[in-house]
Amino acid sequence: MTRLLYSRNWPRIIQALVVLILLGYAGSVMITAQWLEEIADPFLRYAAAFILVQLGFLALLLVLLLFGKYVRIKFEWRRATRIHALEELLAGEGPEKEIVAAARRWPDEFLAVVYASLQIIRGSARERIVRLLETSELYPKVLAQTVSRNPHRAIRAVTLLGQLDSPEARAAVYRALDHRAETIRQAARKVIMQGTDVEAQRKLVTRLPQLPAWQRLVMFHFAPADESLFTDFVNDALQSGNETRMLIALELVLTRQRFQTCQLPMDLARSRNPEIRIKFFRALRFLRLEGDTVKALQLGLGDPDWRVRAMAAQACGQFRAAMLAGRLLEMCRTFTNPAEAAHAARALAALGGEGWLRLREVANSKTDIARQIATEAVERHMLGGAA
Amino acid sequence: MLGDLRHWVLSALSVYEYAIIVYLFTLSTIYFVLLLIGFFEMMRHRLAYRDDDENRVLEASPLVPAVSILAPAYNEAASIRESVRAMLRLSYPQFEVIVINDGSKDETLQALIEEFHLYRSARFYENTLPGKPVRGVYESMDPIPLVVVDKENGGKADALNVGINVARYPLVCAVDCDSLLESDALLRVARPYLEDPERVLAVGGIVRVANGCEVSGGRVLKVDLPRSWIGRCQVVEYLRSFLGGRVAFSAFNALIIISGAFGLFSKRAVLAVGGYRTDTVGEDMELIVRLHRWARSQKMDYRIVFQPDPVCWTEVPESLKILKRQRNRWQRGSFETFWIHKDMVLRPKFGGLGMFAFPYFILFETFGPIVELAGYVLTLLGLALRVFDPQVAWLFFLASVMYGMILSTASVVLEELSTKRYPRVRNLFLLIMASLVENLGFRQLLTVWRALAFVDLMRGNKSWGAMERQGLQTPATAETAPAQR
Repeated sequence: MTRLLYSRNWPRIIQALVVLILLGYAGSVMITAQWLEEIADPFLRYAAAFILVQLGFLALLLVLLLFGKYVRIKFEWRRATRIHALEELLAGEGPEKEIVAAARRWPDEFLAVVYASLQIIRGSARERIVRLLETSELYPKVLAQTVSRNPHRAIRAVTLLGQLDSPEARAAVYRALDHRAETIRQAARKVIMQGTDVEAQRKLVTRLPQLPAWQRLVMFHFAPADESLFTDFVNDALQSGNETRMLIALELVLTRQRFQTCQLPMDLARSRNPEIRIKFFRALRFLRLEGDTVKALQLGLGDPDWRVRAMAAQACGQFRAAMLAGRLLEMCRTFTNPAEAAHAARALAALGGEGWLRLREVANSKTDIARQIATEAVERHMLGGAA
Repeated sequence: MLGDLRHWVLSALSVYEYAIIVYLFTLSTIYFVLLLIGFFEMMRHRLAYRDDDENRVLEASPLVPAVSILAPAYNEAASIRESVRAMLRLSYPQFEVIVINDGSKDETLQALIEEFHLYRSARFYENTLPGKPVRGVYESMDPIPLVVVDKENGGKADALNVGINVARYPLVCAVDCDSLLESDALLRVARPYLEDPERVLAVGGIVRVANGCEVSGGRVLKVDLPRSWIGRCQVVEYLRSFLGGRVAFSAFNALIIISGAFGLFSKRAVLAVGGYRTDTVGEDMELIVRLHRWARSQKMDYRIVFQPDPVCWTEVPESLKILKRQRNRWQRGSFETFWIHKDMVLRPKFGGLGMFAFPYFILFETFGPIVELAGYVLTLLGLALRVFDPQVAWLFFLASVMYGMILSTASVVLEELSTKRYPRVRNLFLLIMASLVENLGFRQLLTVWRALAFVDLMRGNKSWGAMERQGLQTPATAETAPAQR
């Protein structure tokens, strides 16, 4: 069933299953009606057959529900007991033979205990558990399961093997990168990113542009703390001229929210893609600009897209670019979108000095929208709000 | 002459009786198909969203689009502090809570000012959508993202429109002030938008019955069933509607209802269609239909999605009087929505929505109660006039009731196979009982009320009707409850 659920033809499969079930239902009514041939009136016969089938179906549902719940509770209780027993065995200094025998008896529970243990235990105890797993009969099966068609097994195998450092475990996880189900590929990517194989991580990072945006967001967070990997990728991407790669690099910088030693090319402020220009000004404070920051900000404040101007204005406040106060003031008075003026006003408030005084003038002016926006910025600043 | 007339009336009665039978079985079969589709979709959803660690990651991402939560409040002084505190505790990277005090006559605004240290703010906003005048905007001196808009009374839709005007973020989430969102509900409901920001216009979450649950600090601590059978029947009803109907319609991009208690929208799309309509009591449904209409007329590739895992807990009426009011309003809302958009019916231009979802809702959900009620009355009449064979009438009544029981029980199965929110065997047993009991009077009663709503609509009734709430069960009341009984 789970294989079908991951199929690309799932919508068609649903339709086929629904039709099959309905046909089954109708077929049951027909068969029951034949069985009730003693009722002469066909109308009554089919009605009675229908009711009987319904009764059967209802009874089946009720039995399924109650029996299913009972079995599940029982199963969970037994599983918890076995897990507890395995934990005791693993924690103790008893003979390994006993553990191996228990693993053979309860393979699922053994793998669950091993996975949980590997996440929290370090040192020699961890090595012992790894050795136990690798010498168990289950290990070859787990290695093969990363490409299993059953997603439950594949994900379990990937996450478990991701905890190990052996070459065959790594190879098995890499094989999952080509699994047909996206969930399993994503699990493999996460495991590799959290691991220690820098080369594999580099390869994965180069494949980031092929992922949908939300998956990239997730991957950014699992990215290793290794600065060289991160810096190399961002530097390469920003210099590549490839818009998608540049956007991803800027997203990565924005996700980290801290200063990086990467070079930010000035050309990005002139990119044809407004999304790049917007992210350029958002990421400006986290990167080293190749060129004059004030010039870049000037460029941004004169951008034809209001969203870029707004982000450039925000950056002016962050850089305390007092020499651009005049332009920011102008933006407060004439704007395409109030959000642009609001950013300019907040930047003026953050500048302090002359900028602050000029903002207060706008707040006392008679131009309605500009006055309201400036008043809000002044108020926010006086209450200690962010620029 | 009289004989001819009698013959004609009797023939018409007989034809109508058979038409009703066909109608009821068609309706039940469609429900059954929707439940089956819902079941398969839920299974798929469960496998595709193994995302606990991903949610934790997204909670901290500055690239996740910010959300403005809009909570209209009218005379909510007793519960507003708790509700707002619960909303402020949601897990989401960046959000603001906008409470719109819709001209409350009680101390709602005062309670908020005192509790959250509000000051009259100079916050700038544009009146992009029309709404009743705003008396003031308040923000908190504490570092919490809370905005309170005090405005003149104009109804829920009007309050939401004003809230959208004040909202600063690209996503707006409409919630009921007295509902409780689970802490990860916002992140889960925003997930389809994160995955496909270009296409997704709106996302709805599941609304569950909070009566009987143990609630503290705006959180549901222990899930349980309501104590009354009216409440329990509504639990089954909600499960059937959300896990069956909405999941299935969403799979075919033909979802036409996102509950007003919990729905996330792209602000850009809502502004493009002109916000909520204030002249209908079914503003939530009408907005979704209008979004569909707008997107299809723009030839957009779009999605309006239902997600079964973001949970919003709400208190349902346990008194017949209030339940009647609620269902009357819902039914009038449906009538109004379909009347406004009647030209979408059977128009291929509107795809599955115009060709299936709309006709289905009009035939079975909107006019269904009238047809069904007429069926009951005429059957009794037919039996009295000896036009119908009592045996046939009973058989079909029995078949119809049993089909209803199967559908209700199947929805409980769906719940048990998918989300499993009711942990105890006792809960399951009571739910099964409720799914049987529901079809022996409760459903028929609702049919009568819904049919009567048509009369109210004809009379021009536009009122919401007061929705008195009993309040949810806190641990303290849970302890004292047996003593009260």
